[in-house]
Amino acid sequence: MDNNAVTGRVSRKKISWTPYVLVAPLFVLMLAFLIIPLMNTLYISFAHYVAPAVYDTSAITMENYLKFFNTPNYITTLVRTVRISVLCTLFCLLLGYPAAYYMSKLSGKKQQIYLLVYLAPWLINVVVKAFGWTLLLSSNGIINDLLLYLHIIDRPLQMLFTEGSITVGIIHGCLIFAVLPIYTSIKAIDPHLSYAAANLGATPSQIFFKITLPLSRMGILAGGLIVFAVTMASYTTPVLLGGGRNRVLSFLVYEQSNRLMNWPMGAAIALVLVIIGVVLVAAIQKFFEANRRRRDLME
Amino acid sequence: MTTLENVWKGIPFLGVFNALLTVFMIVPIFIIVLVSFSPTSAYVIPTTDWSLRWYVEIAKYGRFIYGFFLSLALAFAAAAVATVLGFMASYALTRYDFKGKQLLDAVFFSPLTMPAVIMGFALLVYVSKLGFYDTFTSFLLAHILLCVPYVIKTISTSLEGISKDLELAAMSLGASRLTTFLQVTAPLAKTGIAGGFVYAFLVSFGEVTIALFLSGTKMTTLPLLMFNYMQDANTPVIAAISTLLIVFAVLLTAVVNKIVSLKDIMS
Repeated sequence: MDNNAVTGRVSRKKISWTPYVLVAPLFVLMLAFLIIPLMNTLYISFAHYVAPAVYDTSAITMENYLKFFNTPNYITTLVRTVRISVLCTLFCLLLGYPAAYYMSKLSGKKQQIYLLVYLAPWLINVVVKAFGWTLLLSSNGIINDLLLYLHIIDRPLQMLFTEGSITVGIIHGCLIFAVLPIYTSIKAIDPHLSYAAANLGATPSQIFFKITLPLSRMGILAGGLIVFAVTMASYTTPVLLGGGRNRVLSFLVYEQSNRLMNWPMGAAIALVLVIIGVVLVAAIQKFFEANRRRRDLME
Repeated sequence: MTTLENVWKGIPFLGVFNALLTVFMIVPIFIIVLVSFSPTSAYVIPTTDWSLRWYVEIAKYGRFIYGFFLSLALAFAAAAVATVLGFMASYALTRYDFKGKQLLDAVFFSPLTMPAVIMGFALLVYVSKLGFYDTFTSFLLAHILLCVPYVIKTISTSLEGISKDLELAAMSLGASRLTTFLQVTAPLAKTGIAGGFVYAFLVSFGEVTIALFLSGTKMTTLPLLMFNYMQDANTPVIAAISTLLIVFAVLLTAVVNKIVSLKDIMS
């Protein structure tokens, strides 16, 4: 009997096989249907396209990647995707910070209600959310009707099927990813710091900018990174709210895989999407760390 | 003295900002509910005559009803398998210390950070090769993978909350490891397991991106049908279906929030 297992201590001599048996089914499943398919994707991105759903892996080629970076349409799409992601990240942080700050000052019951308000978009199907925005933003939608009725505009504004509508839709869905980490980091700040500062004569705005904001920067970083990564890879919202002219990278992957069935090219675009996401996330992290080091040196 | 500065200071900016933000969060969802009662085939908010016509109309859309039951079956199956396998893994991860634990943890949580487009693409190429493109099996596998992180997170949290002293006490009184597990650990982890199941169900039921990649003509889940329908024809029937889905989500959330705090799962 390996009673030691319960206490978390493992006897040095005897290896307990129980945990391995317990994780094995799930691990095998994930190996077979996640890790191997992903490796396969990496592999075929270097393959040569022959015909729909047919590719040749006899020789490794960079042609798919070269084609990607030499096609102006793809580059435009890449730039658009990054632009939308950066905008969404900035807006989610700008809107999410005050929201999280406000929430952290509320009492239990009220806090729960606010939390549900921000969680609501996460719980509701992405397609349903996009439909809601379509109703609001389309040229004969609610907002245009209202503005026409109030004589603020003469003819309907084109709001749907623009980069703006994509951005708004994504902010609505992603705000919670910014709010939660920021909220957690604000809550973790020792309230005595603020009391002490106030005692020593600091104004509320001084307390906020000298204590609360700097101490919650890790929450800002975490929230920003999640929003950025989610936006870079989002598919449903950009397709439904962006229409035919505002394609994003993830649409190109779908186009190659299910319409043109050029799987090597699809794999290459998918990997470009992942790599750019990872590189930008790493760069932002580096930037934050460098900043922190500089601060630490100055203090 | 009411100077301009005092008036300026008197406005609770933060409160106003949050009220506006709340409106922003709620309006796109609320508007669907209103439009679903539209008496005409246009998307209008009914002012005088509220009509249930589009709810009645749903019955005529056989594909949507088929899609609903397909999604339901898929979500139940995926959540059930994910909960069983996830529970086993959570038990190992919280109760034992073993080599490769960190690695396994990373693998089990990877679907959370993996873009759905990438997973969809990788699985499409893979299952096509294996010969089960557009089948229930391929959807089930994909959905299990997606649900696993939520299940493990929920169940691990509840297992960590169970004092190991209780288990030790049972065993020191002569209960075997299996008996201890069945009589002590499992009953105490019941709510966590239920929470994990409901989360998995929610995730699977709403999934659309991977479905787009893996679906041909047979596997048309409800979110997928709505996605396609929204791009083609449009009548308020989609608003009626959306409203039912919103109600469904709200009810499930109310249940799950009683079991485990949503905040704990998200962060």
